[in-house]
Amino acid sequence: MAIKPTGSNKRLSQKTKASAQGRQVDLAVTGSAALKKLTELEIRYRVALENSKQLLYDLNLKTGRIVWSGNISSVTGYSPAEFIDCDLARWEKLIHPDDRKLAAKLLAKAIKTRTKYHIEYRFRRKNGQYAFIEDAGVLVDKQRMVGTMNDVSQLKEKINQLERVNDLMVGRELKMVELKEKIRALTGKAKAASKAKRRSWSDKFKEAVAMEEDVIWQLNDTYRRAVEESTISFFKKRQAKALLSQLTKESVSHRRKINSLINYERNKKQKSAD
Amino acid sequence: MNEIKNKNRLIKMMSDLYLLEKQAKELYDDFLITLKDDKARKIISQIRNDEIKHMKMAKALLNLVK
Repeated sequence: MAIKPTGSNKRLSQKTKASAQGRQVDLAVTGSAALKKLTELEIRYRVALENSKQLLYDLNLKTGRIVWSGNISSVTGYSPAEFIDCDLARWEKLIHPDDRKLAAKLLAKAIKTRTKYHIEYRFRRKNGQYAFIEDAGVLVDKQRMVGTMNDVSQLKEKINQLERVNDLMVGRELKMVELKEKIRALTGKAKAASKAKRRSWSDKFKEAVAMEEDVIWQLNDTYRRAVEESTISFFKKRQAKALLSQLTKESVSHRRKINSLINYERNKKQKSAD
Repeated sequence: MNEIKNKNRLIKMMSDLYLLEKQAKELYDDFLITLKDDKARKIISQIRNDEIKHMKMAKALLNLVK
């Protein structure tokens, strides 16, 4: 359609102007909605962070300055005003001396290799006690690292408790095994004792007879050798003979007495059986 | 040389005799701990006392041959 030269240009420019103004108004409306949305998001995020046991940090690698947000007092024990100036150097000082070297080393490595920073360390709270912190950071550009410090002390404590329970259980099991072995040994001893007890007196007396026979055999042999021995004087030989004879006589008598005891026990047993 | 050997053998025999008497005495001591029958206890007790005497005699024999 051809544009008429008269009055139409004026109308057109008026239309264009109005349309441009409308777009500006639209943009303004859209911008303010986005800002409102962003603000709402930030509020939600802040509330979520403050109610969690987390700290959010934004570290300037060039200056060492850190912008903190999140539940500062819960994690560190310091008020936000006390902690707001905590920079990289102070953060390092607050780490447990045993963990400090590794935390710094891993941070330097993450910066150098541009990888994620992830570590667990003990962090000194305002009251001097240490909290277990899980720290996870990401480099957002060459000079900035953003991350979270999460207080995992309760989790650690639970793990420690479970480990202690586990140790106790293992210790208990070992004790049980030990006790079972002791019981087995005692049962063995009791069995042996009862077996020994079951031996009749006849058997025991037979043992005594065997003992007396050993003595008699030894006496006979000693007697023969003493008589034959040329180094012993006549007088001593006579004395030795007398002593050996008496010993032999009495040992034979012992053997007879014990044999009579064997018969006595046998009769007793027979009578009780009848 | 042989004489010394023989003498030492005799001393060894006397020592063994002494040890046997001692063992016999200990055996009767054990009996007396658990034996309940009075008659048996009396006999074993007499024998045990004899064994003490025998130990002394064996010692005397040992001294004689030494």
